[in-house]
Amino acid sequence: MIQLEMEELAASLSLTPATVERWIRQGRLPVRQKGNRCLFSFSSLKKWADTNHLMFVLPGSGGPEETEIQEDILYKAIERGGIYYDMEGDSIEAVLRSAVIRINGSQSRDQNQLFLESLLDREQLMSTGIGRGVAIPHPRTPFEDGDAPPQIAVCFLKTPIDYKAVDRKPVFVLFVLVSPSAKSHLQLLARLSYCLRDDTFVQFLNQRPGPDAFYERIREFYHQLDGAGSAS
Amino acid sequence: MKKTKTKRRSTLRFYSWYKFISRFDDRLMLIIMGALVGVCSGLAALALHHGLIAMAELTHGYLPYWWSFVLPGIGAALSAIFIDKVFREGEAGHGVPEVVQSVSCFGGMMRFRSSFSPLISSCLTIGSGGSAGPEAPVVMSGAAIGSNIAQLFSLNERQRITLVGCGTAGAIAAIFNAPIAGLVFTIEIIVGEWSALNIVPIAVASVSGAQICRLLQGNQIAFTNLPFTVNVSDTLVCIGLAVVTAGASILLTRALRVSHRLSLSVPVPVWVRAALGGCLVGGIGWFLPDVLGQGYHSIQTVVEGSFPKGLLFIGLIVLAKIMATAVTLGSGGAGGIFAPSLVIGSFSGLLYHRFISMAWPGMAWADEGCFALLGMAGLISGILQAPLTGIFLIVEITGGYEVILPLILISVISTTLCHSFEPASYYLKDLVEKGRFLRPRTDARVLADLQVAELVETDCMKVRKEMTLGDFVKIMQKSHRNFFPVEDPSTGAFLGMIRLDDIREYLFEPMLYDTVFLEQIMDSRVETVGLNDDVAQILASMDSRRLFSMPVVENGRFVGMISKATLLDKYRYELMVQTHI
Repeated sequence: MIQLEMEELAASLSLTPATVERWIRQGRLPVRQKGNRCLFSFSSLKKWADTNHLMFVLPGSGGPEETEIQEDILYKAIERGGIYYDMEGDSIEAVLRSAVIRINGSQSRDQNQLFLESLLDREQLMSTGIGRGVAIPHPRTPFEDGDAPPQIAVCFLKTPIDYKAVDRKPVFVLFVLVSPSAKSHLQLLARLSYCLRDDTFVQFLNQRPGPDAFYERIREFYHQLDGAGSAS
Repeated sequence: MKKTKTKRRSTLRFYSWYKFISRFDDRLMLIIMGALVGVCSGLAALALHHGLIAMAELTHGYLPYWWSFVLPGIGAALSAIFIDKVFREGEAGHGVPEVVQSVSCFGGMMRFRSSFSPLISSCLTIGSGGSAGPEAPVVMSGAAIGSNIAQLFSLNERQRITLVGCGTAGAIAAIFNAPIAGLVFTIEIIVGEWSALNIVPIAVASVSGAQICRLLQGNQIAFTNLPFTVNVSDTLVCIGLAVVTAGASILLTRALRVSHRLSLSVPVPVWVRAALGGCLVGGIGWFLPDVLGQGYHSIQTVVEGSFPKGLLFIGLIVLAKIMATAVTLGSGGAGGIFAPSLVIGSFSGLLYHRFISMAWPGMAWADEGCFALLGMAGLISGILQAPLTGIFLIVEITGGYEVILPLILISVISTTLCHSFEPASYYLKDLVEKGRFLRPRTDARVLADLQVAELVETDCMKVRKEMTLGDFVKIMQKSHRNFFPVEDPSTGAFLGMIRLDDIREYLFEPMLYDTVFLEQIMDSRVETVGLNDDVAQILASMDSRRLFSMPVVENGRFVGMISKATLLDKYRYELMVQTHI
């Protein structure tokens, strides 16, 4: 026999407490109610839930918890991607090639080639240079790499190059964005563009900041974004 | 030392016994309680039966006097006073509709006094000569006994409804000595659901009700008859009889309703109304004594084929019985329509037999009694719109299995004909009109069970009325909903809704961001629903306005949104849970 509060039982069945209470009263749920406490045997309730195609997960047994992951995805993506300095190359293809090699150092040659081709493919469609000396190269379609979490590699170039950017300014930093799904891709892009709209951030990038300062700055943006959301 | 050991052992034994029963979960317990309820309602049926015999002996001596027509009036008046003043039940019901309503809407809850008040009042009405049946009062009493036993053991709604069914089955089984009819009547009319969980305890109750009756009274078949020989021609002509019985059923149903409406329009106290009705019935009965009381004696004469009078006279009796029943029950007498239907049915069968013998004198028709049986089945099936009840009841109370073929035919035809004229049977018509007839596993049942509080989605972001459009756009980016309730920040009162669909064109005008306040663009005349509203009505108003969601507002405050999408989700779960018992 297991004993749970009404609210806990409702949550473990993904139902509202009102529904659970009514079902107990009507005798549809194999649960006995004493005040606000519910008594039941795990196996019979599990069997009941299965025959009725209902979810039944006891609290604290590791159900899906998605709320935490959504937070601060930009910071985590950059942390995964890493920050690289002094990227060699004098053309789009050359910098991307050296970037791919630096980022995916341990991967096989074929995979590197594939990745590079998909990046160049996207550049041919339209330059990812979004102006102010920043480009965000990314594959045209979400990278088919299972459940790998999204990542952004920040690559500062040794010398700014002509990237056919929208404002024709030479590009000095690349944010190489790889994500497993279109949704996370758009989320990262939205957050990134929010940061890049800030003039002070672009100036900050121009100084080629060290990793610690860079991460610190990204964290600040996260709090700004978060602050705007919870104002209600 | 020794003492504690034995104590512990007995505790252990009790515990294992308890576990043994609980392994069968509630089934075994329900069966045991069903038997108990069946016995109790069987005893209630016997009590009323003997009460009626005693009343008949009491009034028998007065019948030859000219003033005996006031006897039904006195009985009905006493019964009405008794119901109204002593038990405060308001008006006397017919029994069965009350039980169906309790099962439909109140989870089988019935008052304790309902377990004996219908017995006393119907004994007064029928014993004094009122034209009504004792079955419905016994059914109500048995159902109330079942309900109260369930309440005593604090059982849940489903189990309580089953025990109400057990009471009904026991009552019918005992009063007719007909266990199958008890079971079938309960399932077909009271519970409306065939499932193993219901049928087993109800069948047990039926058996125990009939058994207690046989134990105390002997195994009697109500209407014994000679063996009949039934030919193909009889089976075929009974189609015509079905038309006659269907006509009589419809006539009785309408007469009952008209009489009830007329008596309500007479502005006198309840008991005066009942007394007047009773005197009228007594007056009819003075000329045609066959219409008085439950009339089982006349049925016996008819079934034996020894009813002496001619065609016109029988037709007159049919009409008089319909009228007497309508007046008795319409004016406030207590009783049911079971027995009167049987009387009308038997006379209709007799009438039809006399008619076909006159029309085709050369044919060898079956006995009069056989047609009386068929007529009874046709009338019961027609007025209750329950063919199985009609078939099994007549087979059991007459022991006449040889007429089964025309019996089935006449029952189903009569039911079908009545159904096309009166879509809801006499028992259920009021409930259907009030929207309170909710059978298990139906759309109406599911919607009635779902409450707004269970459907409301509370994850809406509330906004303030003086917020600028620019601030709102920032909030909007965070929300995954298209609806935003606007509140008064000081009182928390709900002012209106903002729908993204309505304001889409302004959202892309940064010029407006600091100049427009939400108060100016919100929809303040939005349709809202309350927490206690009926879900079926909410759905209907969504359909008529082509809305997919509506805000729920209680006491002027926003609670959440109710949407068709969530409703479908919950509806599906509800349907699955209700159908997977």
